[in-house]
Amino acid sequence: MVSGPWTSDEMGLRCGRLRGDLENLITAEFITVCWDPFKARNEQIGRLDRVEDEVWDLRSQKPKPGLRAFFRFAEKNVFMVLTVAPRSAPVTWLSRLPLLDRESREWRNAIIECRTEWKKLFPAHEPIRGTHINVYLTGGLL
Amino acid sequence: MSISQEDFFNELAAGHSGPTIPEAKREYFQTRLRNRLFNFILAKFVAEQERGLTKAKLGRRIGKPPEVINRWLGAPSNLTLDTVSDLLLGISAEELTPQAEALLHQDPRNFLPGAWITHEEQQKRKQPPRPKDELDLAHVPQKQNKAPSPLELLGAK
Repeated sequence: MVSGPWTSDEMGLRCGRLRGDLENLITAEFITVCWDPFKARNEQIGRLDRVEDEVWDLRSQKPKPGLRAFFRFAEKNVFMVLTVAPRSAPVTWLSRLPLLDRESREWRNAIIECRTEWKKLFPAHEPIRGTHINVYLTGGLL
Repeated sequence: MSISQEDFFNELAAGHSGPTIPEAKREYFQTRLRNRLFNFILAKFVAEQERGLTKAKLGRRIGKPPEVINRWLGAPSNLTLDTVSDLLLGISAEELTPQAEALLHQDPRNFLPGAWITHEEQQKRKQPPRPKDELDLAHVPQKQNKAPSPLELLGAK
């Protein structure tokens, strides 16, 4: 999805941006983090409700519609991005409903889907759990 | 794991008479630049925080309300060249000096040894491979009945 070739210019444009944002999560010295679900302002990543699900999202905000890439931490500084969904409007190149309102069924389904994909890939392993951002990430700014 | 950039960079390598560089790839590099500038500013801010700078002080210094500072320091997509200039002035009384580096012919460099690589494994990587007939298999550990970790499943050694 982020390496191309892409089926349309629209997809290429959006996924090129997503690739840059994903790479940034790997290479950046600091990442802004929304630790408390539903309290997001402009942060780059966030922990999602329910926190015990251990599902996070990367916000690739512009151009609209923004994308959310869902991931879990396998260990500190190691994350597995498992699914992607559009935030506010459907896109022709991705068969996913937009997430819309923060308490929508689509949000909940996206979190469940991320957990399901993890279980398929890593059935014997749980994502890491922690009570502070330092457990998950070096350079996380709350 | 390293990822080959060869295919991704093929239009860039074609020279001045090459094909149009696709918009998607231009978008990718625009994003990289935006993220790098954001990271640069954020690192400056974190360093100055240790010397007493706060978002409120920064806002007062450059005449912007706290919500604007929060937005600028929250995500790369909120930055413009003008805001970068304002932030650098307010944070550390500095200005950017442009510099560029060639994208082509770089060594792969997205491989960082993780904590899951033991010291012993790292040492093995540094040693040249021995011919097969010299291999001493006596010290090869017995295969354990343990589920592979997520990293092992993805091919990281």
